[in-house]
Order: sequence, then structure tokens, then C-alpha cells
Amino acid sequence: SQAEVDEMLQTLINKSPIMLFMKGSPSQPQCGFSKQMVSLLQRHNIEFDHFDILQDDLVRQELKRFSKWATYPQLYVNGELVGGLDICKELVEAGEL
Amino acid sequence: MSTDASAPEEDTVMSTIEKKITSELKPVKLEVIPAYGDPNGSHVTINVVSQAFEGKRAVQRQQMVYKVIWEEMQGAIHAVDQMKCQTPAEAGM
Repeated sequence: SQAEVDEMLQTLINKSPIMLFMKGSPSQPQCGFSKQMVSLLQRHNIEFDHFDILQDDLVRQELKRFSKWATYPQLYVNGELVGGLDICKELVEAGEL
Repeated sequence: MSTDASAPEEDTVMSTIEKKITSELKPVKLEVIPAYGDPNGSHVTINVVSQAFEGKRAVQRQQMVYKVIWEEMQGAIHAVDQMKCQTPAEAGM
């Protein structure tokens, strides 16, 4: 059911204080934007956990609907959506990440 | 975006995106730029200047745009290379 899916997603989002939903893994990113996001986090010594959305089609489709965000990568901090690569780059420039 | 003057007007992915954003967010300025100049391409850059973004954080602004073009995002568009959402004040207008 929708509620069960939403609950599963909420738990997944909260799996780690900083949670990255990406294509591939940090050691083997499968898309340019995901790769850049990983580099950005690592450059700033930010510890994060990740979920490879290429491995799970249900999460891949449902998370977009759940977060009203149409693309990957998606970065969550403390259960809240921060945004994609460009927003994170802006936050870095503003010293806010 | 350049158009071929001799081609008949047709609904491209880019023009559909432009129409939807224009209609829903009433931008004072809008740029929908296909990567590689392909009006039916799968990568796009979107720059929107609209009063509707007032008081909203960056993530909320992009969510507003995604909501408007959700269909295109599930289908034709595979990646958004850049999306800039500004209020007229921020854009210096």
C-alpha cells in the first residue's frame, strides 16, 4: 500500500544523518552528476551513507514521488531533502553545507 | 533557442515545458535550453525568474518546477543539467 511504501522510504531516508540516493555507489558511480556529488561530499570530509537506486526500481520510482523531486542524486540531511547537485554546490559556495 | 523559419510549428518537448512553466508560474523571464540544441532532447537547462518563488528555499523552488513538468520528467527528459529559480529581485529585474 502507499502508506507502507511511504513508511519504508521514510525509514530509508533516516538510515543515516546524511543519506545520498545515487546512481551506482561512491566507488563506482554510474552517472556524472552522482559522481560529482560524491566528490563534493568527500572533498568536504562529509560522512554519508548511500543507496544505489539502480538496484531497486521501487525506491527509484517511489522516492521521486515521495520527495517531489524528479532527478538523482538526492541528498537528505536528518531526514530532510536538501536537493540535488546544483543546490549542494551553491550551499558549498555559501559555506552552508 | 533558434527556430527554422520554414518548418511548421510543432510541439517539441522544450516548447511543451516552456508552455507549462509559463502558464503555471507566470515567469517574468524563462529560458528552456536543450543540451546539444535538440528541441526533443533528453537533457535540458531551465532558468526561471518568477515572483512565485518569493519566500521559498532553493529546494522548494525546484520542487515547484518539477511539479509543473512532472510528465516530461518521467518520460522525455532524463537529466536537468541546470535549474536556476530566482525571484525578480534576485535576478536584478
